[in-house]
Amino acid sequence: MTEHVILFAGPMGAGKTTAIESLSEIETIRTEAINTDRETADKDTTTVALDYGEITVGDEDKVRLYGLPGQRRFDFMWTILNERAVGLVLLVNNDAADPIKDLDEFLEEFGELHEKGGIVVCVTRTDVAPIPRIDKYAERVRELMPGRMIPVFTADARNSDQMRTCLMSLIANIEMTAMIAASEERAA
Amino acid sequence: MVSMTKARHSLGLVGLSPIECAKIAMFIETEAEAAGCPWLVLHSDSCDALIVPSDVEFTADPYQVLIRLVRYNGAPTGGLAITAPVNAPDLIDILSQAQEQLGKRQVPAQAGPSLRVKMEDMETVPANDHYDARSYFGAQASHMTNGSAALKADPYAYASHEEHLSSQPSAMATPAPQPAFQPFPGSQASHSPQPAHNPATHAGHDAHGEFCAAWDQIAVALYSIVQNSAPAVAEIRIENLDMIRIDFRFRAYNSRIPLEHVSANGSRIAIRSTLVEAFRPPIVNLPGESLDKLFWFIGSQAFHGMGAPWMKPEDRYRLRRWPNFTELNHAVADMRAAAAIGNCFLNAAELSAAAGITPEAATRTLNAYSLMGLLEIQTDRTAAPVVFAPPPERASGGLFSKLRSKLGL
Repeated sequence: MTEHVILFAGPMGAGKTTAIESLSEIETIRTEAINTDRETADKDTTTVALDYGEITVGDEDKVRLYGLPGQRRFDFMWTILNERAVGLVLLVNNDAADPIKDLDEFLEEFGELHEKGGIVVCVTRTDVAPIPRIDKYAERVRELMPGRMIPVFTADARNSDQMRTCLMSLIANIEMTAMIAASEERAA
Repeated sequence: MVSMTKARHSLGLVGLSPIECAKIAMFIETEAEAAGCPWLVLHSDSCDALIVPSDVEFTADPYQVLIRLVRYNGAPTGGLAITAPVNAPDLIDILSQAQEQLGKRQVPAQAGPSLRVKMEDMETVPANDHYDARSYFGAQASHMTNGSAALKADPYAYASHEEHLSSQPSAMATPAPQPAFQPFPGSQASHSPQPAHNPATHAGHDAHGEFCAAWDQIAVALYSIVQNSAPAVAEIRIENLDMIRIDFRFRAYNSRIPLEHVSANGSRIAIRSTLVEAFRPPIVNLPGESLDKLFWFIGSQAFHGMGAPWMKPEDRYRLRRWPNFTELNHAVADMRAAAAIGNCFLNAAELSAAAGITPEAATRTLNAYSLMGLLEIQTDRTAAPVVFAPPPERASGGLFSKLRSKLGL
């Protein structure tokens, strides 16, 4: 069976756990603890190790969905899973103090994933904070990763349809990039 | 591009075909500014100068300069005139003359181009866009109040319309199940719902002539406004109701009904646009809907699956950014198309091959992206095209295809 590891990263409170729950066809495995950092995200619990969900596609493929803890002190988990991953769903909550800076930090950490797979950026909580608009995110992505096309969407992590759109776009982009690379190799 | 700060006068295009409008807008964008002849092009009859076909009855206000477009060996007219097909030198020459005439007139000092649409009327818009279905714009001038700005989407304004109607299935002729909302009780439109499929998705999308034709000029008008970059607001009226309000400053719109339920009778759709100072309050309830959603909808409807008049078939295009699919009415195939054109420059044929969609769907996609301002253009004709060869795993179906089936998309 082929495994496809997709990571869900982003700052605390961006909706990583919820996004996995929206997509997973199994009950998600969660590793949560009491949130002691209410200033960053006003929620009762937060992920400390990882969240896990999966989608099985026939007998051949399994999509493993891993949610990474948003806090830096757990970033050893990032490295472990980063090596196995082919794609990243980067969630950024628009109501954060400086969401563009959050985008910068996570792209710096996980940007290389675009080389071996792909990245999609999901901007959450735009209903609470409509600004910055997603073209600002897209512009920033272009600045940080020139020449690479990373989809940027607004999304409600609770909305399964929207999260499916994000996931499918990520996979479409990964496959198309691979197809173009293969074509160029053959042409060379 | 003509900017707000450089434009001295506004030019209204009234009763012209989409192609004529697009050509004039393009000439002005590329030539007029360089020739020291800056104009702001709008689809309005309330501009400083107007270009109106010579065979259309039209009376300009005293403050306006009227330029007649003489089509197909038509009789010459008095005053300023330009002959079809329009070419850039003639257009620049005639605009210079118009500019000279305007310069000699006593006009109130204004910061920018004038457009005499009263913003306060937007709340109680008079019934001034009510036209007979078979008459050209301007023939029913008595129905218009002073200062209105309207562009009528007249199916008889361009010759190819009948062909499209006969060659393409019509939503009007094949009613689909009625949507719950009935926007125009008792009207023809209320018995002519849009097709059951999503009209604003591209892949596998059937064109339906009347519906498409109604949006051609709207698309050109919106493209013109966006290209001019001036702060503007607009109102699309269908069946004499202000159905869609647009505030370009906030890239937002409000619609009375979901776009999927918008029913457009080709003879009763109009757009009113006006410039607005940046400090004026928005005419939409913010945050409103994203303008991309409206442009995606209209771009996919217009031009009958042919390229928009401002696009060149020999050019290649690439996405500047992905469209925000979570807010667009999209098909799964649209994601593949975005992935393809997001990673390399493609024309419609190449996009069709890369994304596995029909050439018509590829063209509609490009039209929509272009209207949304998402495309960058490669004009280098010598650039080698990307030849797509599917990777080995695609033969048994890639993960995308498998997930698509799994998720029932």
